[in-house]
Amino acid sequence: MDRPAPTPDGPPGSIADVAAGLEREFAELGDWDARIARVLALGRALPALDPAFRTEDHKVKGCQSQVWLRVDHDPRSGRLRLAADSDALLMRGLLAVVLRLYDDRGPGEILAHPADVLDRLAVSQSLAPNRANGLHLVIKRIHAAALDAPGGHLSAEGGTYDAAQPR
Amino acid sequence: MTPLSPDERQWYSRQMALPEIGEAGQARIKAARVLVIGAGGLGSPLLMYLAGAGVGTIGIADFDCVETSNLHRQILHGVDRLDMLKTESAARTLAGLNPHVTVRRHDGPVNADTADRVVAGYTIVADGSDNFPTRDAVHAACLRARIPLVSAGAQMTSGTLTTHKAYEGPPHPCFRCLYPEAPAAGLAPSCAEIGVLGPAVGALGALQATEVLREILGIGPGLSGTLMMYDAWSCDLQAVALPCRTGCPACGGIPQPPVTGGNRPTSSVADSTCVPST
Ligand SMILES: [Zn+2]
Repeated sequence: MDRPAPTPDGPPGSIADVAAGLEREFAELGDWDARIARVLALGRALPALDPAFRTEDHKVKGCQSQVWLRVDHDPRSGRLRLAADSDALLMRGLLAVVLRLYDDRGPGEILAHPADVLDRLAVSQSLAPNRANGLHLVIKRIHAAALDAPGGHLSAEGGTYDAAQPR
Repeated sequence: MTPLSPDERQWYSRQMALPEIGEAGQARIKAARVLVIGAGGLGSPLLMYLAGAGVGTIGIADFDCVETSNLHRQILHGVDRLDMLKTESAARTLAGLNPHVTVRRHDGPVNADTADRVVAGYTIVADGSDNFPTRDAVHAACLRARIPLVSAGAQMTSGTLTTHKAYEGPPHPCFRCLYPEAPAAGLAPSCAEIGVLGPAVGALGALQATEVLREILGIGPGLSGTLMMYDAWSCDLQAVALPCRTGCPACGGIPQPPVTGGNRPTSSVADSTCVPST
């Protein structure tokens, strides 16, 4: 499936706005059954990752399910584009939430935002307490890519970066 | 107690032929209401054997969905159940095994907020969950509700099994007598990261089902005060005395009925010293 075209200004609102919106959205769903159904629906709606990127390099190891994450730095916008997939629908739903938070954001904004909203959704809202570890590993990979991207603070090189590439 | 139907008598004939069971024992099994926490590696044989044995009401609590990495050990589920809630998949399997049992689903995590509500109304709880907070919450709820808890845990190729009835007072140890400290988050690896041998977990689940039946039927002294340790690679099963821990904050504070006899009634266990039972 084609990746969404980069938006000139990035997604509306800050990551914190999106996080607050997500928390509201899930809190309003009331009971656990409705919340887990929403996560599974998000998982069904998540575009599949191009099978060419379902490689060992892109695999986030340590997760209960297989998880693949692709991170590209868009040199024109300076933002990171994310794509992710899993063989488990529940994990795809959680990855959709991660992408909603962090896709098409600048490295600085990504690094400045604490990922605790994911813990609140996964653990406190009891959506998938045993997936919190896996989500942390995904966030770690995204942060590593943000650090390496121009505007992160280590590297100043241009071009496309891929967090999954061994360095 | 509802009497057995002719169909049920036929259904369980090989089980009722056991002298320890008979028609009266089968009726007790039918009257039992057993809650199983976790429809995973332990819960699979546990639930299937309890359903097969004719436990009248079986509760299933789980919050996860079936995925491929489960299938080598979680024999309740199959490839046609991928991404389905484990409670739903388990309920389908049990319905297919025995139409005489009533299955109740408890979708969602069992934790300190929900445990009391989930265990209410059950006569025995069997915990096959894989994380400390759930096990602790389930135990605390069972202690409060005075429900026997048959608890098993498995890791890699070995595991443990015991029964908690700390509501009866010393020398019955509670879960926190066994695990005084909660493991630091992140220290206790979950099944996600470590290897696990399917039949090793399955053996423990089958032992756990046997213990549930022993509790229902009142056969033998039960496992309260005894920790069974199973190791698959050496095919070793050992019984270790599990003492009540003096000063245990979880069970030491349970008010006990006064014990008469001797010179004085004892109304508190706070200063009693637990002795290991065997
Ligand atoms: Zn205790």
